[in-house]
Amino acid sequence: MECMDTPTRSRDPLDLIGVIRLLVFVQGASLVAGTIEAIVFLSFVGPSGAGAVLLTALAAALTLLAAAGIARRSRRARRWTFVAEVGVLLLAAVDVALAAILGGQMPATSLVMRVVIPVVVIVLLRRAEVRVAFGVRSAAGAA
Amino acid sequence: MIGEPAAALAVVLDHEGIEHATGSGSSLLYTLPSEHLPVVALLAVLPLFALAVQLLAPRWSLPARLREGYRARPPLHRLAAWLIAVSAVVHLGLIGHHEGVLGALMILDGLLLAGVVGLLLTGRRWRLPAAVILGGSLAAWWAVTLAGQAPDQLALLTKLVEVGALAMVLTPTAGARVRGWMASMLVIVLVVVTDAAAWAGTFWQASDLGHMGGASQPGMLMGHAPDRPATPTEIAAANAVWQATATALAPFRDPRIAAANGYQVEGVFGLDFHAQNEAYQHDGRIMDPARPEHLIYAEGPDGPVLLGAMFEMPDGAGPGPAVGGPLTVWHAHEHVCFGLLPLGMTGLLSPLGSCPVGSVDITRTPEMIHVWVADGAPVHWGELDDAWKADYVARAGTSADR
Repeated sequence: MECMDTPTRSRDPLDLIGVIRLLVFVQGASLVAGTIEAIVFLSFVGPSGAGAVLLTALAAALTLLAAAGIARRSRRARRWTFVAEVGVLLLAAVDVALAAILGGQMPATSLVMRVVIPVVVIVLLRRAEVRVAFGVRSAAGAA
Repeated sequence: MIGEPAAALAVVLDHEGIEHATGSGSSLLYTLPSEHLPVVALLAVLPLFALAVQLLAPRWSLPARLREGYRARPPLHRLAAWLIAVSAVVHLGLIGHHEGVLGALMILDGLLLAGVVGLLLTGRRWRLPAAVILGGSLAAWWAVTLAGQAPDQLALLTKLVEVGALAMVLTPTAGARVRGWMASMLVIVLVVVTDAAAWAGTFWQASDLGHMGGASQPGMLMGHAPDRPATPTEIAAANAVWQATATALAPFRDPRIAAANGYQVEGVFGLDFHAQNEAYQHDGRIMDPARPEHLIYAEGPDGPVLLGAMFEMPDGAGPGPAVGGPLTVWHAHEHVCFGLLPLGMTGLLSPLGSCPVGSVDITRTPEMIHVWVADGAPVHWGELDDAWKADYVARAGTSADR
């Protein structure tokens, strides 16, 4: 415990990977909760919800695996996370457009989980020192 | 274009003084109440405080110590400091919003969280106190929420922040493999329990207050009934539309006839299956008894049992006509998750802000109203008790056997 509480004086930028891993892990945990919700809703919405259960469970598993891969500094996990976060942002954009058409608005939790966190993860993954830590040498090779 | 209901209905629809079923707000689950907006604005204190520390550090020792303490921490712990500070400010900013023991506990929680930030920035042991206080804050919130206090967006965001901060606190140093797995599992449990508590609190409060118009079920935008009895004209109009609808729907007791008329009756299940008619949804007609946009079937032992219909307003057409005043209150839905693989409803937007994967968030549907034509239905409009539906379906099966 002592060593954990002692300031490290480390300015190692690779500590940023811990932040990325944690943000992706929280997204994965949120998808686990989403899978349980989808299973509960299955009894109300019928068979049309079965695909959603499978897709959400698959996304949860892949996201948690990606978080573990990021901790191991796996290039594949970095690439997959990058693509997944861009996908989350695109789907959020669709929902924002739908909200503009239908009326109503996205709740703040949606904006945080589906816009703020993905943007932060993408920005951190693209930082030079993080790319180097994942063995991505040039900007052209990023993502 | 208005449909061709009975003459009495036409008179009412043309009446300028018609009431519309609007007025109920969004569920708290998806709302940031206006009285909490100052608390959000108060969060601006944090960057101002950081700026003040930065400016005063060269001259004063305490700001210098705080700045050095912050810089000495790894990024994960710096982020934890910010998140815990956000939670502290929210708790302290809510002074006066809650009374009694709950109010006192929130102040205590805010002060303790601020104290943890102080420990973190001054290089003292902070992780154990942080874990205890953040865990206690979450557990207290679960208890309050499960007791029926529906959370709003500020509460949900604050708890997400606390879960994130606690995850950072629990993240072990490199190499602590077993502790790392346990911490990961604990974070998943924290997120799932927080999500479940939010649902439970919201539904329980809605079931307690909903009958008095005090709270909407999540996903439901229920219009408030006018606080007066229906007038004789309204009663006549509501009865006229109901009678016309019951007559028009009689052939659809046979689902094959409904299918021939464009209703999607495949896969009827449960007690509340809505068979939509896409053509009628886009015909521009409003509340036409001969062309309801949905038929409602229940799954019976011998096949679908017709219970009623649902009228739906065209997209963007605004509120539905309350032809029967307080007897015919329309409703809408908000934050319905609509799956694309396959097409169909998949649930409601999560308290954590997402729909199931492959679904989009329908923030607001057109207004709609149910009309029940099943023999002996205790109500003609609005919500029909599920127990009655189940009993009716069972009786329908029994009579068919005979």
